[in-house]
Amino acid sequence: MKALFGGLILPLPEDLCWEPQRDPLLDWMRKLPSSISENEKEKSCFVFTTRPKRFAPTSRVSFVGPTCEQKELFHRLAEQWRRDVMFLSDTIERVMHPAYQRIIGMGAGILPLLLHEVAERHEHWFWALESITGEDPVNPEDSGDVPQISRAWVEWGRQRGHIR
Amino acid sequence: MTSIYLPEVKKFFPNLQPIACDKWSDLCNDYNCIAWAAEDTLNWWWPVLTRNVKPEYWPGEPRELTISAFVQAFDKLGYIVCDDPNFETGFTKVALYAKTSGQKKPTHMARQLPNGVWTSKLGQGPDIFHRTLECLEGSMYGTVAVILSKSNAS
Repeated sequence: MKALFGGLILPLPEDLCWEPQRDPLLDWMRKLPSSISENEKEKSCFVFTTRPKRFAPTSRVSFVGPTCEQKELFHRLAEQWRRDVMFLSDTIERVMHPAYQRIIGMGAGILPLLLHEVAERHEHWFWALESITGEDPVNPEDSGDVPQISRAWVEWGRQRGHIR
Repeated sequence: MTSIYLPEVKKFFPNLQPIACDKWSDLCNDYNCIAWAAEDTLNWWWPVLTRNVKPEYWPGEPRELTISAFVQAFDKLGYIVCDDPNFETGFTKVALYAKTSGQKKPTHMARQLPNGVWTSKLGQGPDIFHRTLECLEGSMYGTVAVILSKSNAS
């Protein structure tokens, strides 16, 4: 099995398999040749499919992370949204911004990106997360407590393997 | 957290005059201007819920985007409506900004410090200091709609 990596075709390790709590791709990335720069690793995108050894032979597990194009579009839209709503408190106005709505339209592939922003700066992607996933892991008593709401979503993301 | 500098803020608030420095606090998504006016840095205050449970905190009913809802919320903190934005010893004042689109729609709040200077948290942006309430008036926040005051003794 091989994967496209930064324009290079590289063999995937034999023991590669998908586990919900552990991302084998990241481990595999760490084992890549040192000739590939960290920057290139970061910029690279993967779409790989494997037949995990621990699953039934007929079950095929696919993991599709955000593509380069999705990452680029997400960061561009997110920056536009931040710039336009930075000084606003009105949540409705903030989440109804066209860039925010387009990000929701990008779907589940960008969940790791949203969760990363929530984890890093408690950015208000909660409405988008709920719209995309249909879930709400936030305790009702935590209404208004942005750090606690962020923690709830990050924990949710970890449990489902969207982030480490 | 990211920092923001005066020139970026002045693009949106051309009347703003800096006080003492040209760089304010870091950006913070944990609280907003209403929370800052209420001296709460742990919650994002807003009366209108986007769904059932979201980042908005509001101290009771009514949960609607009206001046009355804001006055009632700050009434719970001991504030009453007053006419005079000028500094008075022994009192803390807050100002509610609103934009007119049909009815007046609240947009922002500022709080007066014991030295008479006003302080504002600009959305998810920085906490800033401004000499007058007019500094932030304009297309972003509209104009000051109500001044509220509470006795520091209470």
